[in-house]
Amino acid sequence: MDIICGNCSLANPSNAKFCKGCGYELIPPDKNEQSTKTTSTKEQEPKAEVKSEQSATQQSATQQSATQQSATQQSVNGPIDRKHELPPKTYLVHSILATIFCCLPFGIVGIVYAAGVESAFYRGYHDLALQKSRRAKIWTIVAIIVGLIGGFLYLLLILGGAIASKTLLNN
Amino acid sequence: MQRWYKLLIACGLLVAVIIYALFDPAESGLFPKCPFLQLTGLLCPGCGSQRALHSLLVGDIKAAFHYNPLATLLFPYLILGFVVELLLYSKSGTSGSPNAILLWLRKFLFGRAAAYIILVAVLLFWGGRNIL
Repeated sequence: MDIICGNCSLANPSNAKFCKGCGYELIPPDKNEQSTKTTSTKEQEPKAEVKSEQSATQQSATQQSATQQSATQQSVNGPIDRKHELPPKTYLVHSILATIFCCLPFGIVGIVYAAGVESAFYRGYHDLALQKSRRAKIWTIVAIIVGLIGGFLYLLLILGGAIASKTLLNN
Repeated sequence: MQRWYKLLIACGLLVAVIIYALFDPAESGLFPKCPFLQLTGLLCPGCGSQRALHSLLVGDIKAAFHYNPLATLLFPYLILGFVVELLLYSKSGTSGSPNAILLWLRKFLFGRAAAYIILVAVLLFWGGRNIL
C-alpha cells in the first residue's frame, strides 16, 4: 500500500511520514473514505451492478485509484460520505474581492487554493483540505494588509500633495 | 473569531459602503488608482470596480456595467457568498449537521467548479477588455 504525495503525486511507502520526492508531509487518506463498502439496503438495489464492478477493480488497483473509486462510489451512493459535513473555509469570496478590488495576484492565488480545498475535501483528504484552507487564509490576510497599506499610503500622498500645494499657493 | 473583531469588520464595511455611496471615484481624487494600469497602461480585471460599486450603490446599473461588467455581475454573487458563509460557519461546531440547502448552495455556487469558472472568466475578461 502506497501513500500518494498530495504535493507531487509520487508514491511513497505506507510507513513514510514525508514524501521522498519533495519532502512534503504525507497525509494518509481518511480511513472512513476507504471503507465505503458499508451496506445500506435502500440504495444498494439499483446500483448493485456498478458496485460489484467497482469493488472488483478496487482490489487490484493501487491505493490512489482506490481512493478515487471510493470517491466516485461515494458520490453515487456512499453512506459514509462527507456530503453532509461542512468543508473547511475556502475563502473564495475573499479572494474574488481581492482580485477585483486591489490585489490581483494574491486574489488569483487565493482562488486556486479555494478550488484546491474543495477538491481535496471531496476526494476524502480532509487534512490536506484543512492545510490548503489555512494557506488560502494566509493569502487573504496578505491581500487585505497589502490593500490597506496601499490605500493608506495613497491617501497620505494625496493629502500631503494637497497640503503642499496649499502652502505653496499661500506663499 | 472574537466578537469585537467581527464588530470592527462590520463597522469598516458600513463606513466603506457609505463612502462609496457618497463619493464618485470617477470625480473624486481620494480613491486609489489601479497600480497595474498606471505601470503598464493596460486595464486589469478590477479596473473600474470602484466606479462600478458607486454606480450600483446609487442605483445606476447601466453605468456600473459600463465601468466594469465583471465586477457588477460578481457583487451580488459575493454578497450571497458572504451570507451563506456567515450562516454556515457561525452555527457549526456546536450543532450537528449543517443545513442541507446552505451546504448545497455552498458546494455548487462556491465550490471547485465555481472557483475555476471564475478564474477563467477573470482571465478572459482581462485579455478581452485590453484587446477589444
